[in-house]
Amino acid sequence: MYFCMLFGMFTSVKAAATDSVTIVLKNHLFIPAQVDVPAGKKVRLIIDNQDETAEEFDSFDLNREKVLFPKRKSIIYIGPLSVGEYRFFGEFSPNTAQGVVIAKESTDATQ
Amino acid sequence: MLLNSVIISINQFLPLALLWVLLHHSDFGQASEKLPFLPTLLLCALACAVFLGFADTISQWFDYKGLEIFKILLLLGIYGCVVAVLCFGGRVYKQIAIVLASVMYLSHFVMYVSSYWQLDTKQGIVIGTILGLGICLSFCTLLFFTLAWFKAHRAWAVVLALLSAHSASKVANAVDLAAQIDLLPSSETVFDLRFLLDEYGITGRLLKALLGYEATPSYANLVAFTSALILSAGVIIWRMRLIEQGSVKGVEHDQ
Repeated sequence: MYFCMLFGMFTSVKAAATDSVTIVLKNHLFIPAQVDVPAGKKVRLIIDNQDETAEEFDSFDLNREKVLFPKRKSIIYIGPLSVGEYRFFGEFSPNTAQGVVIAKESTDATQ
Repeated sequence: MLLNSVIISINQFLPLALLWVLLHHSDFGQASEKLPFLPTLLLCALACAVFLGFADTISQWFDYKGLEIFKILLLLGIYGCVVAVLCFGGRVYKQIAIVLASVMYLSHFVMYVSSYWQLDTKQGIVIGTILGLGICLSFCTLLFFTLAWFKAHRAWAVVLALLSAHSASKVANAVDLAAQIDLLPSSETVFDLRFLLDEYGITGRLLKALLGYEATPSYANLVAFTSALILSAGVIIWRMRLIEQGSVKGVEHDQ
């Protein structure tokens, strides 16, 4: 079991080329709030925090957590994801800063 | 703002407080070496202040990957210190682990407070933080006395298993951070337990802080957690055998 897991860890990378998606954080809102990405591919999220305050990008579904410093860009890699919806939110303003990554089967998923 | 402050203070204070409680009870087969509260608190505050002064700059290093690399080192440092405590005991490793954990977690809380501290939000932040700290304190007090009860009944394995799982979760967390910046290959999710227990609720958050519970772990996360747990267990078994041999020799010497 353990060695199967170890094998799976290094054989499950499917992405040949990494797609990039830019998300802007402005007035405590992620724009766009819905990001469509191709399933089974690694995607690079570039998050541009244009607010004057820090924020923390947080997603339990994606297992991602990153502090977004004010007026700075940050990069997070996600995937390869199975088809489905993955919620993310700003931990410091969870009521407004919300979004969802939707992994779709089609290869032409765009933001 | 009040509810948000409660959640953030729980998220950031709980892992640190849990580590403190677990390390407090980690001495086995030797005289207990307690952490000095005030000096450790001062060291934590100083380390946090230094980190916060440079965090913004560090985040831009290595093509915006600097903060993750720094946090990976912190998490591995915490795990290394816990293994050192299990190996050799000693107050200094405990103190380093707590200081590293405070830089890892408390700095987030300070960032939140410094970003949102305004006239109209002050009250919500203060009350929310007090409530969050109260919840952390209640849970940790409960854990403290539960672990004390286990120790009193010579159930060391339970205490050490909890400490091992807690520290192994730091390694799993470090692997997630490495995947987040493409330092390690990303791997697919092994299983999805969100229908059973997600990490948004209080139980999920508590289990995540205590044992590193993940509802949707990746292969890499699971492998890292299991490997770190096996290493800790190996160290504990080795140490226990050493203690047993020592006590047998002691008995023979007395005879």
